[in-house]
Amino acid sequence: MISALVSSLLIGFQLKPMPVQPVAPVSISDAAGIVRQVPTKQKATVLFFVATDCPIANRMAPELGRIVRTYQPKGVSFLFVYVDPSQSKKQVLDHLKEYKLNAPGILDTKHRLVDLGGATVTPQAVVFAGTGKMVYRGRINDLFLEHGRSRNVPQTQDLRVALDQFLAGKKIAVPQTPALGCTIPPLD
Amino acid sequence: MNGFARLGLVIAIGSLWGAQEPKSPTFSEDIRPIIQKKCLPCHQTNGMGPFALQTFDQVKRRGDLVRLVSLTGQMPPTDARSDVESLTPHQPLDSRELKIIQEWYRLGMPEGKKMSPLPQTPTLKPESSSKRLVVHVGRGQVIPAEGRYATVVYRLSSFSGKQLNLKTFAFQPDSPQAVKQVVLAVQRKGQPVPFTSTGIRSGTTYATWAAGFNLWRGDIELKKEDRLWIRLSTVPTGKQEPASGLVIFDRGPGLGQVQTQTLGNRTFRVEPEQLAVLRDEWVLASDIDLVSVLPEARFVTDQIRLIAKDDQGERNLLMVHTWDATWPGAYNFLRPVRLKKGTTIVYEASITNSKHGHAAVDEKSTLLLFGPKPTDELFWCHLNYISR
Repeated sequence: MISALVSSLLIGFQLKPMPVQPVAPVSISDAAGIVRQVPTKQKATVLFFVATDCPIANRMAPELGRIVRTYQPKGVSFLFVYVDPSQSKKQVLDHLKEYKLNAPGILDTKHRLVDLGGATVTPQAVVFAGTGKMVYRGRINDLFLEHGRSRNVPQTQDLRVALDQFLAGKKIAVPQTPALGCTIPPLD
Repeated sequence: MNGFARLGLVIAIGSLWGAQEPKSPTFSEDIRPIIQKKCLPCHQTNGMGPFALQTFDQVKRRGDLVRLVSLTGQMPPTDARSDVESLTPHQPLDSRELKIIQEWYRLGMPEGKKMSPLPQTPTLKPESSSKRLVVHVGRGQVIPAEGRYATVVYRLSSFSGKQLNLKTFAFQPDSPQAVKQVVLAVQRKGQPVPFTSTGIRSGTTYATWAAGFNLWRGDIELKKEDRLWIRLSTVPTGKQEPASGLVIFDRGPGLGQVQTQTLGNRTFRVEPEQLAVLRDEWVLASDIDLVSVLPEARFVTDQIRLIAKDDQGERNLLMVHTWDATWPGAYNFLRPVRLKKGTTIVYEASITNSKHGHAAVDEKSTLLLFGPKPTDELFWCHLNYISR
Protein backbone atom coordinates (compact mmCIF):
# COMPACT_ATOMS: atom_id res chain seq x y z
CA MET A 1 0.00 0.00 0.00
CA ILE A 2 2.81 2.37 0.90
CA SER A 3 4.63 1.61 -2.34
CA ALA A 4 1.40 2.33 -4.25
CA LEU A 5 1.13 5.67 -2.46
CA VAL A 6 4.76 6.55 -3.21
CA SER A 7 4.40 5.69 -6.88
CA SER A 8 1.22 7.73 -7.19
CA LEU A 9 3.02 10.68 -5.63
CA LEU A 10 5.88 10.23 -8.09
CA ILE A 11 3.49 10.15 -11.02
CA GLY A 12 2.26 13.55 -9.86
CA PHE A 13 5.70 15.01 -10.46
CA GLN A 14 6.25 13.40 -13.85
CA LEU A 15 5.96 15.59 -16.92
CA LYS A 16 3.18 14.55 -19.25
CA PRO A 17 4.58 13.23 -22.53
CA MET A 18 4.77 15.58 -25.50
CA PRO A 19 2.80 14.61 -28.62
CA VAL A 20 4.91 12.66 -31.10
CA GLN A 21 2.89 13.56 -34.22
CA PRO A 22 2.63 17.11 -35.61
CA VAL A 23 -0.47 18.88 -34.28
CA ALA A 24 -3.37 19.93 -36.49
CA PRO A 25 -3.24 23.74 -36.83
CA VAL A 26 -5.89 25.86 -35.13
CA SER A 27 -7.33 29.06 -36.62
CA ILE A 28 -8.05 31.65 -33.94
CA SER A 29 -8.41 35.46 -33.86
CA ASP A 30 -6.03 37.49 -31.78
CA ALA A 31 -7.13 40.33 -29.49
CA ALA A 32 -6.74 42.83 -32.35
CA GLY A 33 -9.14 40.78 -34.52
CA ILE A 34 -6.57 39.25 -36.90
CA VAL A 35 -7.05 35.54 -37.60
CA ARG A 36 -3.91 33.56 -36.82
CA GLN A 37 -3.05 30.01 -37.70
CA VAL A 38 -1.32 28.24 -34.80
CA PRO A 39 1.32 26.91 -35.23
CA THR A 40 2.38 29.37 -37.91
CA LYS A 41 4.29 28.36 -41.02
CA GLN A 42 7.41 30.12 -39.66
CA LYS A 43 10.60 28.22 -38.80
CA ALA A 44 9.36 28.01 -35.21
CA THR A 45 6.30 29.22 -33.28
CA VAL A 46 6.58 30.03 -29.59
CA LEU A 47 3.41 30.20 -27.50
CA PHE A 48 3.83 32.02 -24.21
CA PHE A 49 1.01 31.08 -21.83
CA VAL A 50 0.33 34.03 -19.52
CA ALA A 51 -2.33 35.62 -17.33
CA THR A 52 -2.73 39.32 -16.62
CA ASP A 53 -2.90 38.78 -12.86
CA CYS A 54 -0.29 36.05 -12.40
CA PRO A 55 2.57 37.68 -10.48
CA ILE A 56 5.08 35.03 -11.59
CA ALA A 57 4.22 35.50 -15.28
CA ASN A 58 4.30 39.27 -14.89
CA ARG A 59 7.71 39.23 -13.24
CA MET A 60 8.95 37.21 -16.21
CA ALA A 61 7.54 39.75 -18.72
CA PRO A 62 10.76 41.77 -19.29
CA GLU A 63 12.60 38.56 -20.20
CA LEU A 64 9.74 37.41 -22.45
CA GLY A 65 10.01 40.77 -24.25
CA ARG A 66 13.77 40.31 -24.70
CA ILE A 67 13.32 36.79 -26.06
CA VAL A 68 10.82 38.13 -28.62
CA ARG A 69 13.25 40.89 -29.67
CA THR A 70 16.14 38.41 -29.97
CA TYR A 71 14.44 35.58 -31.86
CA GLN A 72 11.81 37.34 -34.00
CA PRO A 73 14.50 38.50 -36.50
CA LYS A 74 15.73 34.88 -36.66
CA GLY A 75 12.43 33.67 -38.10
CA VAL A 76 10.66 32.69 -34.87
CA SER A 77 7.02 33.69 -34.47
CA PHE A 78 5.65 34.57 -31.02
CA LEU A 79 2.13 34.57 -29.61
CA PHE A 80 1.03 35.43 -26.08
CA VAL A 81 -1.83 33.20 -25.02
CA TYR A 82 -4.01 34.65 -22.23
CA VAL A 83 -5.58 31.71 -20.44
CA ASP A 84 -8.20 33.37 -18.23
CA PRO A 85 -11.53 33.27 -20.14
CA SER A 86 -13.07 35.93 -17.87
CA GLN A 87 -10.75 38.62 -19.29
CA SER A 88 -11.61 40.90 -22.21
CA LYS A 89 -9.67 41.51 -25.44
CA LYS A 90 -9.09 45.07 -24.27
CA GLN A 91 -7.46 43.79 -21.08
CA VAL A 92 -5.18 41.63 -23.24
CA LEU A 93 -4.18 44.57 -25.45
CA ASP A 94 -3.64 46.82 -22.41
CA HIS A 95 -1.50 44.17 -20.72
CA LEU A 96 0.69 43.69 -23.82
CA LYS A 97 1.24 47.45 -23.98
CA GLU A 98 1.82 47.90 -20.26
CA TYR A 99 4.45 45.14 -20.11
CA LYS A 100 5.97 46.11 -23.50
CA LEU A 101 5.33 42.74 -25.10
CA ASN A 102 5.72 43.16 -28.84
CA ALA A 103 3.81 40.19 -30.30
CA PRO A 104 0.12 39.34 -30.84
CA GLY A 105 -2.00 38.33 -27.84
CA ILE A 106 -4.77 35.76 -28.03
CA LEU A 107 -7.57 35.47 -25.50
CA ASP A 108 -7.98 31.71 -25.35
CA THR A 109 -11.58 31.65 -24.08
CA LYS A 110 -12.18 28.01 -25.05
CA HIS A 111 -8.68 26.82 -24.14
CA ARG A 112 -8.08 25.61 -27.69
CA LEU A 113 -4.43 26.66 -27.46
CA VAL A 114 -4.08 25.50 -23.84
CA ASP A 115 -5.17 22.06 -25.07
CA LEU A 116 -3.04 22.24 -28.22
CA GLY A 117 0.08 23.05 -26.20
CA GLY A 118 -0.83 20.99 -23.12
CA ALA A 119 -0.04 24.01 -20.93
CA THR A 120 -0.59 23.66 -17.19
CA VAL A 121 0.68 26.89 -15.62
CA THR A 122 1.54 30.48 -16.50
CA PRO A 123 4.19 31.40 -17.51
CA GLN A 124 5.02 28.49 -19.75
CA ALA A 125 6.50 28.22 -23.26
CA VAL A 126 5.53 25.74 -25.95
CA VAL A 127 7.57 25.65 -29.16
CA PHE A 128 6.39 24.14 -32.45
CA ALA A 129 8.55 23.51 -35.50
CA GLY A 130 7.29 24.71 -38.90
CA THR A 131 6.11 21.14 -39.49
CA GLY A 132 3.70 21.43 -36.55
CA LYS A 133 5.72 19.15 -34.32
CA MET A 134 6.07 20.20 -30.71
CA VAL A 135 9.78 20.54 -29.90
CA TYR A 136 9.85 22.20 -26.46
CA ARG A 137 7.49 22.61 -23.54
CA GLY A 138 8.30 24.04 -20.15
CA ARG A 139 9.74 26.92 -18.21
CA ILE A 140 11.38 30.03 -19.65
CA ASN A 141 14.24 29.82 -17.14
CA ASP A 142 14.89 28.81 -13.52
CA LEU A 143 14.38 32.26 -11.95
CA PHE A 144 11.74 30.84 -9.62
CA LEU A 145 12.53 27.80 -7.48
CA GLU A 146 9.16 27.58 -5.79
CA HIS A 147 6.33 29.91 -4.86
CA GLY A 148 7.79 32.95 -3.13
CA ARG A 149 11.38 31.88 -3.71
CA SER A 150 13.37 33.29 -6.60
CA ARG A 151 17.00 33.62 -7.61
CA ASN A 152 18.85 36.88 -8.20
CA VAL A 153 19.69 35.78 -11.72
CA PRO A 154 18.51 32.63 -13.51
CA GLN A 155 21.17 29.95 -13.81
CA THR A 156 19.63 28.10 -16.75
CA GLN A 157 17.95 29.83 -19.70
CA ASP A 158 16.03 26.72 -20.78
CA LEU A 159 13.93 28.27 -23.55
CA ARG A 160 16.80 30.26 -25.08
CA VAL A 161 19.01 27.15 -25.05
CA ALA A 162 16.26 25.11 -26.74
CA LEU A 163 15.67 27.79 -29.40
CA ASP A 164 19.41 28.15 -30.09
CA GLN A 165 19.79 24.40 -30.53
CA PHE A 166 16.69 24.20 -32.73
CA LEU A 167 17.74 27.12 -34.95
CA ALA A 168 21.23 25.59 -35.33
CA GLY A 169 19.58 22.45 -36.67
CA LYS A 170 20.57 20.42 -33.61
CA LYS A 171 18.46 18.14 -31.49
CA ILE A 172 17.05 19.96 -28.45
CA ALA A 173 18.89 18.35 -25.54
CA VAL A 174 16.22 19.07 -22.93
CA PRO A 175 12.87 19.27 -24.74
CA GLN A 176 10.79 19.30 -21.56
CA THR A 177 11.26 21.14 -18.27
CA PRO A 178 8.92 21.61 -15.31
CA ALA A 179 7.24 25.01 -15.31
CA LEU A 180 6.44 26.82 -12.07
CA GLY A 181 3.75 29.43 -11.82
CA CYS A 182 0.02 29.97 -11.52
CA THR A 183 -2.04 26.88 -12.26
CA ILE A 184 -4.34 27.13 -15.30
CA PRO A 185 -7.71 26.00 -13.95
CA PRO A 186 -9.80 23.81 -16.28
CA LEU A 187 -12.86 25.41 -17.89
CA ASP A 188 -16.17 24.69 -16.17
CA MET B 1 -7.39 -8.22 3.58
CA ASN B 2 -8.71 -8.06 0.06
CA GLY B 3 -9.52 -4.82 -1.72
CA PHE B 4 -13.30 -4.94 -1.14
CA ALA B 5 -12.97 -5.65 2.57
CA ARG B 6 -10.55 -2.78 2.89
CA LEU B 7 -12.92 -0.48 0.99
CA GLY B 8 -15.74 -1.54 3.33
CA LEU B 9 -13.65 -0.71 6.36
CA VAL B 10 -12.74 2.68 4.91
CA ILE B 11 -16.41 3.44 4.23
CA ALA B 12 -17.36 2.35 7.74
CA ILE B 13 -14.70 4.56 9.30
CA GLY B 14 -15.66 7.34 6.93
CA SER B 15 -19.29 7.24 7.98
CA LEU B 16 -18.36 7.19 11.67
CA TRP B 17 -16.34 10.33 11.07
CA GLY B 18 -19.14 11.75 8.97
CA ALA B 19 -21.55 11.43 11.87
CA GLN B 20 -19.49 13.88 13.91
CA GLU B 21 -18.44 16.27 11.18
CA PRO B 22 -20.46 19.39 10.39
CA LYS B 23 -22.12 19.67 6.97
CA SER B 24 -19.94 20.05 3.87
CA PRO B 25 -18.48 23.53 3.50
CA THR B 26 -19.51 25.73 0.57
CA PHE B 27 -18.01 28.93 -0.74
CA SER B 28 -20.92 31.19 0.14
CA GLU B 29 -21.45 29.94 3.68
CA ASP B 30 -18.00 29.01 4.88
CA ILE B 31 -15.18 30.24 2.64
CA ARG B 32 -16.50 33.70 1.76
CA PRO B 33 -16.51 34.93 5.40
CA ILE B 34 -12.94 33.67 5.92
CA ILE B 35 -11.79 35.39 2.72
CA GLN B 36 -13.55 38.60 3.74
CA LYS B 37 -11.89 38.67 7.14
CA LYS B 38 -8.42 37.35 6.37
CA CYS B 39 -7.66 37.90 2.65
CA LEU B 40 -9.75 40.79 1.36
CA PRO B 41 -7.79 43.58 3.08
CA CYS B 42 -5.04 42.96 0.48
CA HIS B 43 -6.67 40.83 -2.24
CA GLN B 44 -9.05 43.27 -3.88
CA THR B 45 -8.94 45.21 -7.14
CA ASN B 46 -5.95 47.59 -6.97
CA GLY B 47 -5.04 46.21 -3.56
CA MET B 48 -1.67 45.11 -2.19
CA GLY B 49 -2.18 41.53 -3.30
CA PRO B 50 -1.35 40.69 -6.91
CA PHE B 51 -4.90 39.51 -7.63
CA ALA B 52 -8.41 40.01 -6.27
CA LEU B 53 -10.35 37.38 -4.30
CA GLN B 54 -13.78 38.99 -4.35
CA THR B 55 -15.87 36.50 -6.29
CA PHE B 56 -16.39 32.74 -6.25
CA ASP B 57 -14.74 32.44 -9.68
CA GLN B 58 -11.68 34.38 -8.60
CA VAL B 59 -11.21 32.21 -5.52
CA LYS B 60 -11.91 28.94 -7.36
CA ARG B 61 -9.40 29.82 -10.09
CA ARG B 62 -6.78 30.16 -7.37
CA GLY B 63 -8.05 27.22 -5.34
CA ASP B 64 -4.74 25.31 -5.50
CA LEU B 65 -2.78 28.32 -4.42
CA VAL B 66 -5.25 29.39 -1.71
CA ARG B 67 -5.04 25.92 -0.18
CA LEU B 68 -1.25 25.74 -0.48
CA VAL B 69 -0.39 29.14 0.98
CA SER B 70 -2.88 28.83 3.81
CA LEU B 71 -1.72 25.36 4.87
CA THR B 72 1.94 26.34 4.69
CA GLY B 73 1.27 29.47 6.73
CA GLN B 74 2.53 31.82 3.98
CA MET B 75 -0.76 33.71 3.99
CA PRO B 76 -1.90 35.94 5.62
CA PRO B 77 1.62 37.14 4.99
CA THR B 78 3.60 37.01 8.14
CA ASP B 79 5.95 34.33 9.30
CA ALA B 80 6.53 36.50 12.34
CA ARG B 81 5.14 35.63 15.75
CA SER B 82 5.43 37.15 19.17
CA ASP B 83 4.66 35.53 22.52
CA VAL B 84 4.08 38.88 24.16
CA GLU B 85 2.14 41.19 21.87
CA SER B 86 0.36 41.23 18.52
CA LEU B 87 2.34 42.34 15.45
CA THR B 88 -0.50 42.55 12.94
CA PRO B 89 -4.05 43.83 13.11
CA HIS B 90 -5.15 40.62 11.32
CA GLN B 91 -4.87 37.28 13.01
CA PRO B 92 -3.46 34.28 11.11
CA LEU B 93 -5.84 31.54 9.94
CA ASP B 94 -6.83 29.35 12.88
CA SER B 95 -7.05 25.55 12.80
CA ARG B 96 -10.83 25.59 12.31
CA GLU B 97 -10.49 27.86 9.27
CA LEU B 98 -7.66 25.75 7.85
CA LYS B 99 -9.78 22.63 8.23
CA ILE B 100 -12.70 24.28 6.40
CA ILE B 101 -10.43 25.41 3.53
CA GLN B 102 -8.91 21.94 3.23
CA GLU B 103 -12.29 20.21 3.29
CA TRP B 104 -13.85 22.64 0.78
CA TYR B 105 -10.92 22.08 -1.59
CA ARG B 106 -11.20 18.29 -1.18
CA LEU B 107 -14.91 18.43 -2.08
CA GLY B 108 -14.10 20.17 -5.39
CA MET B 109 -14.76 23.73 -4.18
CA PRO B 110 -18.59 23.85 -4.25
CA GLU B 111 -20.16 27.30 -4.59
CA GLY B 112 -23.40 26.93 -2.64
CA LYS B 113 -25.79 29.83 -2.90
CA LYS B 114 -24.95 32.50 -5.55
CA MET B 115 -23.76 35.66 -3.84
CA SER B 116 -22.62 39.11 -4.89
CA PRO B 117 -18.87 39.93 -5.03
CA LEU B 118 -17.25 40.91 -1.75
CA PRO B 119 -17.32 44.70 -1.47
CA GLN B 120 -14.21 46.76 -2.08
CA THR B 121 -12.75 48.48 0.98
CA PRO B 122 -13.19 52.20 0.36
CA THR B 123 -9.86 53.82 -0.54
CA LEU B 124 -8.69 56.21 2.14
CA LYS B 125 -7.87 59.66 0.88
CA PRO B 126 -6.22 61.16 3.92
CA GLU B 127 -5.95 64.92 4.06
CA SER B 128 -3.83 67.18 6.19
CA SER B 129 -5.51 68.65 9.25
CA SER B 130 -4.50 70.04 12.61
CA LYS B 131 -3.94 66.45 13.79
CA ARG B 132 -2.65 64.91 10.59
CA LEU B 133 0.05 65.74 8.13
CA VAL B 134 -0.13 64.16 4.67
CA VAL B 135 2.59 64.60 2.07
CA HIS B 136 2.75 63.09 -1.41
CA VAL B 137 6.35 62.05 -1.90
CA GLY B 138 8.59 60.47 -4.53
CA ARG B 139 7.01 61.96 -7.65
CA GLY B 140 9.06 60.96 -10.68
CA GLN B 141 10.94 58.22 -8.76
CA VAL B 142 10.51 54.72 -10.16
CA ILE B 143 10.79 51.12 -9.06
CA PRO B 144 12.66 49.16 -11.76
CA ALA B 145 10.74 46.49 -13.67
CA GLU B 146 13.12 43.68 -12.80
CA GLY B 147 15.19 42.24 -10.00
CA ARG B 148 14.79 40.12 -6.90
CA TYR B 149 14.31 43.24 -4.82
CA ALA B 150 15.09 46.93 -5.11
CA THR B 151 15.41 49.77 -2.65
CA VAL B 152 14.62 53.38 -3.41
CA VAL B 153 15.91 56.13 -1.11
CA TYR B 154 15.02 59.79 -1.13
CA ARG B 155 14.98 62.86 1.10
CA LEU B 156 11.70 64.48 2.08
CA SER B 157 12.74 68.00 1.17
CA SER B 158 9.45 69.53 2.31
CA PHE B 159 10.52 68.90 5.90
CA SER B 160 13.73 70.91 5.82
CA GLY B 161 13.80 73.54 8.49
CA LYS B 162 10.55 72.49 10.16
CA GLN B 163 10.08 71.71 13.82
CA LEU B 164 7.43 69.09 14.40
CA ASN B 165 6.24 66.52 16.87
CA LEU B 166 5.28 63.31 15.05
CA LYS B 167 3.31 60.59 16.82
CA THR B 168 2.61 57.85 14.28
CA PHE B 169 3.81 57.09 10.80
CA ALA B 170 2.06 55.37 7.90
CA PHE B 171 2.62 55.08 4.18
CA GLN B 172 0.14 54.61 1.35
CA PRO B 173 2.09 53.50 -1.73
CA ASP B 174 1.00 54.35 -5.26
CA SER B 175 2.23 50.85 -6.22
CA PRO B 176 0.78 48.72 -3.44
CA GLN B 177 1.87 45.47 -5.06
CA ALA B 178 5.52 46.44 -5.30
CA VAL B 179 6.22 48.25 -2.01
CA LYS B 180 6.82 45.87 0.90
CA GLN B 181 8.43 47.97 3.62
CA VAL B 182 9.09 51.64 4.24
CA VAL B 183 11.60 53.10 6.69
CA LEU B 184 11.55 56.75 7.65
CA ALA B 185 14.81 57.94 9.23
CA VAL B 186 15.99 61.17 10.81
CA GLN B 187 19.33 62.76 9.93
CA ARG B 188 20.42 65.04 12.75
CA LYS B 189 22.62 68.03 12.00
CA GLY B 190 26.22 66.99 11.35
CA GLN B 191 25.33 63.29 11.00
CA PRO B 192 25.78 61.36 7.74
CA VAL B 193 22.82 60.15 5.65
CA PRO B 194 21.03 57.51 7.79
CA PHE B 195 20.95 54.82 5.09
CA THR B 196 24.10 53.02 3.99
CA SER B 197 24.26 50.65 1.03
CA THR B 198 23.41 47.78 3.38
CA GLY B 199 21.20 49.08 6.15
CA ILE B 200 20.38 51.80 8.61
CA ARG B 201 23.23 53.44 10.50
CA SER B 202 23.28 52.41 14.10
CA GLY B 203 21.72 54.92 16.48
CA THR B 204 19.45 56.44 13.85
CA THR B 205 15.96 57.45 14.92
CA TYR B 206 13.51 55.81 12.58
CA ALA B 207 9.94 54.62 12.05
CA THR B 208 8.68 51.76 9.89
CA TRP B 209 5.68 50.74 7.86
CA ALA B 210 4.87 47.47 6.06
CA ALA B 211 1.74 46.24 4.36
CA GLY B 212 -0.43 44.23 6.73
CA PHE B 213 1.46 45.05 9.95
CA ASN B 214 0.68 47.34 12.87
CA LEU B 215 1.39 51.03 12.46
CA TRP B 216 4.48 52.45 14.10
CA ARG B 217 3.73 54.45 17.22
CA GLY B 218 6.03 56.63 19.26
CA ASP B 219 7.16 60.24 19.24
CA ILE B 220 9.84 61.65 17.02
CA GLU B 221 10.56 65.24 17.82
CA LEU B 222 11.97 66.89 14.71
CA LYS B 223 14.34 69.75 15.37
CA LYS B 224 14.79 72.61 12.94
CA GLU B 225 17.99 71.27 11.29
CA ASP B 226 16.78 67.70 11.00
CA ARG B 227 16.33 66.09 7.61
CA LEU B 228 13.95 63.23 6.89
CA TRP B 229 14.90 60.34 4.62
CA ILE B 230 12.73 57.56 3.39
CA ARG B 231 13.65 54.09 2.08
CA LEU B 232 11.25 51.87 0.15
CA SER B 233 12.00 48.14 -0.02
CA THR B 234 10.27 46.80 -3.09
CA VAL B 235 9.81 43.66 -5.13
CA PRO B 236 9.73 44.53 -8.84
CA THR B 237 6.55 43.42 -10.58
CA GLY B 238 7.68 43.11 -14.22
CA LYS B 239 6.88 46.68 -15.23
CA GLN B 240 8.24 49.99 -14.07
CA GLU B 241 6.11 51.35 -11.24
CA PRO B 242 6.01 54.70 -9.46
CA ALA B 243 7.96 54.78 -6.20
CA SER B 244 5.69 57.47 -4.84
CA GLY B 245 3.05 57.51 -2.17
CA LEU B 246 1.45 59.34 0.70
CA VAL B 247 3.39 59.77 3.90
CA ILE B 248 0.90 60.11 6.72
CA PHE B 249 1.93 61.49 10.09
CA ASP B 250 -0.22 62.03 13.10
CA ARG B 251 1.03 65.00 15.03
CA GLY B 252 2.15 64.23 18.62
CA PRO B 253 2.60 64.07 21.56
CA GLY B 254 2.00 60.35 22.04
CA LEU B 255 3.69 57.48 23.80
CA GLY B 256 6.99 59.24 24.54
CA GLN B 257 10.27 60.03 22.88
CA VAL B 258 11.77 56.94 21.21
CA GLN B 259 15.41 55.94 21.37
CA THR B 260 17.21 53.26 19.41
CA GLN B 261 19.51 50.45 20.46
CA THR B 262 21.25 48.47 17.70
CA LEU B 263 22.29 44.86 18.32
CA GLY B 264 24.66 42.81 16.12
CA ASN B 265 26.78 45.80 15.28
CA ARG B 266 30.14 44.04 15.70
CA THR B 267 32.14 41.55 13.67
CA PHE B 268 31.20 37.88 13.32
CA ARG B 269 32.80 35.30 11.00
CA VAL B 270 31.03 32.37 9.37
CA GLU B 271 33.28 29.96 7.48
CA PRO B 272 32.27 28.45 4.10
CA GLU B 273 29.73 25.61 4.26
CA GLN B 274 29.01 26.37 7.91
CA LEU B 275 25.74 26.69 9.74
CA ALA B 276 25.88 29.26 12.49
CA VAL B 277 23.71 30.91 15.07
CA LEU B 278 24.87 34.48 15.70
CA ARG B 279 23.98 36.07 19.01
CA ASP B 280 24.20 39.49 20.55
CA GLU B 281 22.61 40.78 23.74
CA TRP B 282 21.66 43.86 25.69
CA VAL B 283 21.17 43.95 29.46
CA LEU B 284 18.67 46.63 30.43
CA ALA B 285 20.00 49.26 32.82
CA SER B 286 16.49 50.60 33.44
CA ASP B 287 12.85 49.74 32.66
CA ILE B 288 11.86 50.27 29.04
CA ASP B 289 8.79 50.10 26.82
CA LEU B 290 9.75 48.29 23.64
CA VAL B 291 7.84 49.90 20.75
CA SER B 292 9.21 48.20 17.64
CA VAL B 293 11.87 45.85 16.32
CA LEU B 294 13.60 46.23 12.96
CA PRO B 295 15.85 43.30 12.06
CA GLU B 296 18.07 43.74 9.02
CA ALA B 297 19.31 40.61 7.31
CA ARG B 298 19.84 39.30 3.81
CA PHE B 299 19.63 36.03 1.93
CA VAL B 300 21.92 33.85 4.05
CA THR B 301 19.65 34.30 7.07
CA ASP B 302 17.07 31.57 7.66
CA GLN B 303 15.50 32.50 10.99
CA ILE B 304 15.47 35.38 13.43
CA ARG B 305 14.65 35.46 17.12
CA LEU B 306 14.55 38.19 19.74
CA ILE B 307 14.26 36.83 23.27
CA ALA B 308 13.70 38.47 26.63
CA LYS B 309 15.31 36.64 29.60
CA ASP B 310 14.51 37.57 33.16
CA ASP B 311 13.86 35.82 36.48
CA GLN B 312 10.47 34.70 35.11
CA GLY B 313 12.17 32.77 32.31
CA GLU B 314 12.42 33.25 28.57
CA ARG B 315 9.92 34.80 26.13
CA ASN B 316 10.04 35.32 22.38
CA LEU B 317 9.57 39.00 21.70
CA LEU B 318 9.82 38.28 17.98
CA MET B 319 10.32 35.14 15.96
CA VAL B 320 10.57 35.07 12.15
CA HIS B 321 10.46 31.42 11.11
CA THR B 322 11.35 31.90 7.46
CA TRP B 323 13.20 35.13 6.92
CA ASP B 324 12.43 36.66 3.55
CA ALA B 325 14.85 39.44 2.70
CA THR B 326 12.61 40.58 -0.13
CA TRP B 327 9.58 40.96 2.08
CA PRO B 328 10.62 42.33 5.46
CA GLY B 329 7.88 43.27 7.86
CA ALA B 330 7.51 46.18 10.21
CA TYR B 331 7.48 44.62 13.63
CA ASN B 332 5.56 47.22 15.58
CA PHE B 333 3.91 45.97 18.74
CA LEU B 334 0.24 46.79 19.09
CA ARG B 335 0.96 48.01 22.63
CA PRO B 336 4.49 48.76 23.90
CA VAL B 337 6.06 45.83 25.75
CA ARG B 338 7.27 46.74 29.25
CA LEU B 339 10.64 45.14 30.10
CA LYS B 340 12.17 45.42 33.55
CA LYS B 341 15.64 46.60 34.49
CA GLY B 342 18.05 43.63 34.49
CA THR B 343 16.25 41.82 31.62
CA THR B 344 18.61 40.45 28.99
CA ILE B 345 17.45 40.91 25.39
CA VAL B 346 19.06 38.36 23.10
CA TYR B 347 19.03 38.72 19.33
CA GLU B 348 19.90 35.60 17.35
CA ALA B 349 19.90 34.68 13.68
CA SER B 350 20.43 31.27 12.07
CA ILE B 351 22.76 31.48 9.11
CA THR B 352 23.23 28.89 6.38
CA ASN B 353 26.41 29.79 4.55
CA SER B 354 25.62 27.51 1.62
CA LYS B 355 23.42 27.49 -1.42
CA HIS B 356 21.36 24.90 0.42
CA GLY B 357 19.95 27.58 2.71
CA HIS B 358 16.25 28.31 2.24
CA ALA B 359 16.91 31.57 0.42
CA ALA B 360 20.63 31.74 -0.25
CA VAL B 361 20.29 29.90 -3.54
CA ASP B 362 22.70 32.06 -5.47
CA GLU B 363 25.22 32.77 -2.78
CA LYS B 364 28.60 31.19 -3.25
CA SER B 365 29.84 29.73 -0.04
CA THR B 366 32.70 31.99 1.00
CA LEU B 367 33.91 33.39 4.29
CA LEU B 368 31.14 35.68 5.52
CA LEU B 369 31.94 38.67 7.69
CA PHE B 370 29.04 40.19 9.57
CA GLY B 371 29.60 43.64 10.98
CA PRO B 372 29.18 47.39 10.81
CA LYS B 373 30.98 48.07 7.49
CA PRO B 374 28.83 48.72 4.38
CA THR B 375 30.51 45.73 2.70
CA ASP B 376 29.74 43.37 5.60
CA GLU B 377 26.89 40.90 5.74
CA LEU B 378 23.95 42.01 7.87
CA PHE B 379 23.15 40.77 11.35
CA TRP B 380 21.59 43.88 12.77
CA CYS B 381 18.56 44.48 14.87
CA HIS B 382 17.37 47.95 15.80
CA LEU B 383 15.15 48.28 18.85
CA ASN B 384 12.96 51.33 19.29
CA TYR B 385 12.14 51.93 22.93
CA ILE B 386 10.98 54.52 25.40
CA SER B 387 12.87 54.80 28.71
CA ARG B 388 10.72 54.46 31.79
